[in-house]
Amino acid sequence: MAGKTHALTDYYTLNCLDLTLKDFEAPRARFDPQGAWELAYGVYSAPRAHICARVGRLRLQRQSTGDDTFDLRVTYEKTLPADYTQIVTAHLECRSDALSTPVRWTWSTVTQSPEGEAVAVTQLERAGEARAGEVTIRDARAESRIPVGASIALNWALFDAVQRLPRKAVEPLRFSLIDHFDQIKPNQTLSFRQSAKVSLGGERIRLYAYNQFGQGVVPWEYWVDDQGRLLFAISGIEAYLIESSEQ
Amino acid sequence: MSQKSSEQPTERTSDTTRRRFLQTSVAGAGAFMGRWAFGAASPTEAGPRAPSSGPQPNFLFVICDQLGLDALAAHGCPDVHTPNMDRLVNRGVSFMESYSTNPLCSPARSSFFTGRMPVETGVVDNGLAIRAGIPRMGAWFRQAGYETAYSGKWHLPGPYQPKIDGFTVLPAGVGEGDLVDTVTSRSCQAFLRNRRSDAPFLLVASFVQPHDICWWAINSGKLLREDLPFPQLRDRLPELPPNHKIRPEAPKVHDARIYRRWSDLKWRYYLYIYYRQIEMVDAEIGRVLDALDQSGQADNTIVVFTADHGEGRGRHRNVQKWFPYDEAAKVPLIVSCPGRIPEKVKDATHLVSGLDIMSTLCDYAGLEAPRGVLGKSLRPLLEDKPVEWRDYLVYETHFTGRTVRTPQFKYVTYEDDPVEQLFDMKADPWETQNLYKESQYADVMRQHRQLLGEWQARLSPAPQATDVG
Repeated sequence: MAGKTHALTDYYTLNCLDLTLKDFEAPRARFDPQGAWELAYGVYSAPRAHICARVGRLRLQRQSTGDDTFDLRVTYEKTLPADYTQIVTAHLECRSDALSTPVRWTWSTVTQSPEGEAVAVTQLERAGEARAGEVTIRDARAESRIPVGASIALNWALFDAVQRLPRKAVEPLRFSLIDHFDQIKPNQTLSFRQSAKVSLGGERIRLYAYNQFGQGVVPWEYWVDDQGRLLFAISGIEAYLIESSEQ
Repeated sequence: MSQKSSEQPTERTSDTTRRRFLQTSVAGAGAFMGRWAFGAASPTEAGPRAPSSGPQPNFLFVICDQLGLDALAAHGCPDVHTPNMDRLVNRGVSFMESYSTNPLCSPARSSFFTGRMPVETGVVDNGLAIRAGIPRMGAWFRQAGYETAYSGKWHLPGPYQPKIDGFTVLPAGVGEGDLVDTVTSRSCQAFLRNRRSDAPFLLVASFVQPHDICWWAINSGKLLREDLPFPQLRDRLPELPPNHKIRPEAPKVHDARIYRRWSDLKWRYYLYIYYRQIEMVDAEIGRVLDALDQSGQADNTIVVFTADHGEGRGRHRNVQKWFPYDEAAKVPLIVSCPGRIPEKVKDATHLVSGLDIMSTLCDYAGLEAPRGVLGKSLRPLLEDKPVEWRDYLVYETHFTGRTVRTPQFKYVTYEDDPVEQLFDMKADPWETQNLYKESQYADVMRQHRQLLGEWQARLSPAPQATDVG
């Protein structure tokens, strides 16, 4: 079933990105998902076919801190009306395991005016920690402890995890999701779905897709390239498209 | 009046430190926000008189978009997990016969903020503004000394506006619910965390989800080759409703949003996505409720939770809204304040409406409601006090549609359409048998037409409202 101005691929989530992919050029530089890297993504809202608006930017910076640990720094800038921006910055200490399990994390949010001034009433600084089946969320005034299952993952750290997963079908990973740093969503699965040759920027490129399902998420599809680099992450009408890759 | 629920809240432990008041005020922060300043109030009358004595409660008014009444776990939905909405059900009174004044975004919202019917506010369709001269909630409460703040979807007329009369706007917007609701919840969390004022507050947290389901229906024919984009989900899909394929005789305009060619699989995936979107907004609501609990103000804050309208969910083969069936018109309405309002109460007796929210807030705040407000304060029902309650309510659909709901029946009529509808809502809650032609219901039909006439005679329609349809 072809649309009026584009041909549908066999891949629903790539169709959601629609014309935004028309001129997309996949990054070609060498990429080692285990090493230090910086990846930036455009954040897109795609409510209708042929409408895919860039509404923000996500930057992830990874740095190994030991044999089996790494730091992940997150900067998320969300466009707001009247040229305001909500900026979220976070520092995650994670394990280099299948889920990039978060150990400790801090994050701050603020809304900035078009002139770059912080709007004081919107500022927040909070921290989280995972230990022994419990997640603790705290700020200067309050602390909450929430029981979780044995396996946990944080949404932005999954952008790292999928880059290091085997590119073949294995037993699905099962975990509780810590979404947006403090929302616990249990009963998640993450698994390899398929390998596919996809036409991008005039050439056919081999990509690998992983799916995440669970409570409180519209199904996610993560697409990585031959080197494991995450190119696209799509959940319903919310999409992330790689804009730069540095190592 | 009610039946007790047996649900238990999700267990959490929280250690809240004593709140310290800081020096700056939110009003100061409002000025600092520059373009996000609030506009001047424009009431037609002198404004509310503040009570002479006694502390006034705070209000947290939480709105979802396109959430049906029975789409909460605590209201019996087996396909969704809503621990935070369930928290509200367990902490307060949940009205089970609660209706939108007009199951469409802008019209319903105009009633929330004015206590008037959409035909009076002039908002008879999406993207219209409340007509000038009608007092609105933000300005009314601000004049009475409340600190008023708003975050999220407004849609009167624009979806997100930097200025809303009577409110300090906490920025949110650009994108759909999946990208906006987290901004809204963070803004509300920050407001509750950072506010400095001693004044009571009225905070509106207006979320978009699960409205994102609209786009799934619109896009599915254009983006999908198969009915189930994720075959791995085949065994996790909800069952179809019992009235899925039943379409009683109906006025012509009801046929607007039927998807006849969808397979059962496609319908079930639609439902699966809808319930995940509800879970997404439930998490956002949890963030705001946690922030309220940690602010030290929860004991003196009345939380009102509702939605503008429901969602078709495949009932009668419908998607979306703006038709009179309960799946679109019936919405949650939960009021909670432990210690002040009874807990774990479900009121399945009284007919209530989005019209009643303004009156209820005014009553608790000790304010007179603006002249012309048609809603009734829910306070006597919440506190289980004797009160004469309405025998019927009316809601509007699609410009000229009117529905009269009495305790037993639902009567539907559209101007210039000879087909009416009458459902026995006790015997036929899934609205499968249209009784309007059956002679034994002739008196019931007459009675409901008369009630509608009486209701219409009380209204002061906005000039533009009579020009449409």
